Amino acid sequence: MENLLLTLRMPPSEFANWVAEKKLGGRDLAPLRAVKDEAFLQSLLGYIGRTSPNKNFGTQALEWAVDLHLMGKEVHIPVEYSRETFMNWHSELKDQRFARRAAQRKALEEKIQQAPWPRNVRAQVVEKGDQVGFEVKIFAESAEDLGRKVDLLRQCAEKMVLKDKNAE
Amino acid sequence: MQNNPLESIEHIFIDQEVWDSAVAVRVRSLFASDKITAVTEEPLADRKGALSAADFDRSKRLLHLTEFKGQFFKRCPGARPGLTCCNYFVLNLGLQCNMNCSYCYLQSFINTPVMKIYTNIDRALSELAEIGKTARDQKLRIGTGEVIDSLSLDELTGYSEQLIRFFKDYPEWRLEFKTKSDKVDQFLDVPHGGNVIVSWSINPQEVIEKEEHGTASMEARLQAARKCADRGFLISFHIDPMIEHDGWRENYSRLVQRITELFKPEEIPFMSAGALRFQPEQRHMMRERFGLSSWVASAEMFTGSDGKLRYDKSVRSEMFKHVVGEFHRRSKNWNIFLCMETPESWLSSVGGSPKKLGGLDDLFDHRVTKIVQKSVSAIETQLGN
Repeated sequence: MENLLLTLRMPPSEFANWVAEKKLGGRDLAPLRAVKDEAFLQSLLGYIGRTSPNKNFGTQALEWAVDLHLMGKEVHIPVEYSRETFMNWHSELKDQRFARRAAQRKALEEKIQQAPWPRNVRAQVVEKGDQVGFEVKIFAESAEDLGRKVDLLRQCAEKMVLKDKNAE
Repeated sequence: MQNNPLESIEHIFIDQEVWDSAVAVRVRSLFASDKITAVTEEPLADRKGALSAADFDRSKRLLHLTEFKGQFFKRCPGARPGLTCCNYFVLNLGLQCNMNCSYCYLQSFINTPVMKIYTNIDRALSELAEIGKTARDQKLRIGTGEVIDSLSLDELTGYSEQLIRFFKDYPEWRLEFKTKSDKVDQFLDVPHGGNVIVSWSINPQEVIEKEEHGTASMEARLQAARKCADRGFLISFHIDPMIEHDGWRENYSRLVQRITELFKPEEIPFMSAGALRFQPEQRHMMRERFGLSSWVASAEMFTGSDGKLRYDKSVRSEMFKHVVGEFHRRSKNWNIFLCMETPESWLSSVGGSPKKLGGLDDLFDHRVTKIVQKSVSAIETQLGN
């Protein structure tokens, strides 16, 4: 890792501090090896160092920003250093890097929002690794109530399938 | 354009103790003497460990001829609980590849700074003969293309001929060469037992040009396969890894079209398809070596149930359905199985799990696997592994 930091001619001190504080390893910083644009690097590392996010979010943002930069996409680096701004930026980077997944998630969110769910049933979009789907949470007062809701859920699913078919 | 090892290999290290081996003699006759160094120790030993991108690139241009000290005969890494895979054993006669595919899984584990060819094939054949004492009548598949291309360096090793001759005495076994080259002319006239499968990992030409650097073109691979089929060799294609890109449907359709124009279903008993996948840590090496203009490095990949990065499941399913559909549109007799995929993907793409699909019994007979495992264990004990 030290070798990697040395290859950055002038790693911003905030970034070096963040790396030390979060105990980052060589693999965490590996995306930096592919970047030739020193100005971009300084700006990116300076921002991450100054906002000092947790290790997981910080390394994800770093990798996605590098990837987007190498893909020739413009990477907007915020000038506001709050945690909220960082988290918004993190989400934007994720949606840009995984653009199709983001669109897929959005379409599914719209679909489940419009679905006729029974009362006391909640659905939300969930990403599980290489799959996107939705989880359904049911609150039932009794076994009888559960049976009723399951019937209503079946009707809800049939309507959703029908809507999909009509849309095709 | 296909890599010519006589041009791409910059230097050769030959262990002093194998200097007079058949492979070393052949290599010494093919390369200028100033390109060859006799060594008594591992070359570039100070560069061992995780390789940098530059070291990995260089390892493809440096060749080390040496003896393999461990066990040659190993089980296919795909055969793990939860993953559908063929009953397949591997025989590694070298390490590293002289071609340069962006997705190559060797990038995630090779830690030797030179490409290796093992000169002691005789011992590999002895191991196989030992296994033959208990499993001669079993239907085994043994492949040589796991960590080195089976044929791309054959002009240096001549191993294909030795293996084909050996397997002639084991008619129930199948020898599988797996290659992205078109180097088959050297063994076409070798008498064989009808039990040699020459298989090609194949992709549309657009993918080859973009991601499979230094390999033979799609057409060259297909023509090489045609020559093999005409000489009675069994042939197979692995449409793997399928790589998503703009126009992938049309490009894979063209590949299927070309396969079906040149071959009949009965000439290719089995074909496999698989979508792009790699170990998560490999992405760093790929980013550094190929940049994000690569369709592989820039792909949207997600962690699958086995920990590898894969396309979204719906994308994989769509790709498999498309390719299987393109074959079946032409004839239902084409047999395609999905290697390194979950049973769920099989079900959604092909409409049956591999054990239920006809004609695959030989490939999925785990009873055979157990018998051979006993022999492998015996060899391990002998070697003290």
